[in-house]
Amino acid sequence: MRELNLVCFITNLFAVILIGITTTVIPMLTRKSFLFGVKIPMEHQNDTRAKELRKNYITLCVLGTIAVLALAVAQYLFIPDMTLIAVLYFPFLIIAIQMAVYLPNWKKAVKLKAEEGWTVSNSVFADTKSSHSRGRLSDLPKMWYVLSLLIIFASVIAALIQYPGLPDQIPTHWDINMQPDAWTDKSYLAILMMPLINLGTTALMWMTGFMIVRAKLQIDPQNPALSFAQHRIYRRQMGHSIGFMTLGLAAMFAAFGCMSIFPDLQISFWAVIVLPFATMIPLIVVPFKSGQGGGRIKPKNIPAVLEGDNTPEKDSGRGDDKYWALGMFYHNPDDPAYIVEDRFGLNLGFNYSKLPIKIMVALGIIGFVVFYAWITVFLLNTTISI
Amino acid sequence: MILEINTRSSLTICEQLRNQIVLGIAAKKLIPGEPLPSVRSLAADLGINYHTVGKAYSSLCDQGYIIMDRRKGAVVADALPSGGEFVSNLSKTLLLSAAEAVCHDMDEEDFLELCTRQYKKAKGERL
Repeated sequence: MRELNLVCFITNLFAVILIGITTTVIPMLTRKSFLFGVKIPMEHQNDTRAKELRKNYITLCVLGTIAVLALAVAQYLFIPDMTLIAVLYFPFLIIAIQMAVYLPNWKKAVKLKAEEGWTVSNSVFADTKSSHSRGRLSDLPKMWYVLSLLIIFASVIAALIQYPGLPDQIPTHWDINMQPDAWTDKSYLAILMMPLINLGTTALMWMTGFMIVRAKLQIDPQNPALSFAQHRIYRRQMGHSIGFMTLGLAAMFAAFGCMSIFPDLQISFWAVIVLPFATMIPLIVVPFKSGQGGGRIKPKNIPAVLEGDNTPEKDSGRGDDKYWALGMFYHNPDDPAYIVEDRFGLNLGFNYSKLPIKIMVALGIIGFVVFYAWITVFLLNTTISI
Repeated sequence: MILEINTRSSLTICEQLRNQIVLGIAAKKLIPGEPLPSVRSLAADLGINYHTVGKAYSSLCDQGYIIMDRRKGAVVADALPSGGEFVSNLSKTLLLSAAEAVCHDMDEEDFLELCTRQYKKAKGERL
């Protein structure tokens, strides 16, 4: 029990620190044209009051993270038996603190824009070369997926060849020292489980990649041609990054599959877990380096950018802020796009006015509630039984 | 070519879209035979309703600027004949513009010079 509590405590600390850091740096990574989800004009992006808001947010984030860390430490020191239960309320606590830090800043940003009478362009843009505005399926580099499928195919063949000679029990789970700690009865389903999971993961990664290249992007009205060119480069970088990670995951699952069907095979923990995770690195580095939607790629690094002959008209617009509830949730029934760039952060968001998105969100909430109920019962049982 | 639509303009989105494409064709940013994006994808790119794009395309098609190809979808048409109904429409538009210029006390010379400049600009010539 002691050990379990310690492991849980350390995991909690790491999670809190990681979430704390990512939340804190969001304003620095988000496009400069958005201040807490509010669109602000180019010439005021470095306004003192805007800078103050960003600074204020970062300070609050650091304080919030320290407070949660202190709470975690206090709980571990004074009521160590409750450490497991922390998993139940920590996510809510963290989300509550994130909201408490974000929302006042969003409100202040809305107020700031209104008070200063800042206006932004109401223009929307599209490139008539249709594949330039938003990516297409063909933008995903096929090579990675073909290689992944080849690995899966090979693992199926290997499993079928090995099947007759396998013992009645085959390992399905391994501990940290790569010693099997769970077995199952030999069956075709059991040995083909890993390749099936592998296929599912590959399909999921392919869909994620598609969503990333397909997302609608935020265009800079000052230079739409540059924005489109940046996004094309960003899409290619992300396509390769996610493809690389797909291959890493396929290799990992294939390795597990091999350990099931070749009992004598010894693969080190590092090769099986750490290397596939290493393939995630480009996926993390690219958005940092290139910025959201390629917003940070310098024009000089882009071959043949058509210079924009666009002279943006000065208009008295408030932009599309009204479609962004709390500056976070996009709800525009007139927009056929399903996936859009987030305004706060580096991720993608949904157009919540669309029926399939609504269904997905509803399923997600139901799934979460079921999972939460299950984990509550499970953790309470574990805590009580020990 | 990059299309720009202003959602707060006094012109409707449909009219702006139509005008932008005509401007693009005149300036050779869109060349004859070049396929235009599908109604669906253009609507999604601009974040506007499908029907608006459909309406703009069908009005361009009626006026002969684009043709609807069964396989390629909307395609930029070859150069249009410059006579007939078009000239009578144009002279009406120009009459109104000239009248407005007169009302604003503009010289004939200045008006003609402006016409020449805008004609060249439409053709995409550097001024």
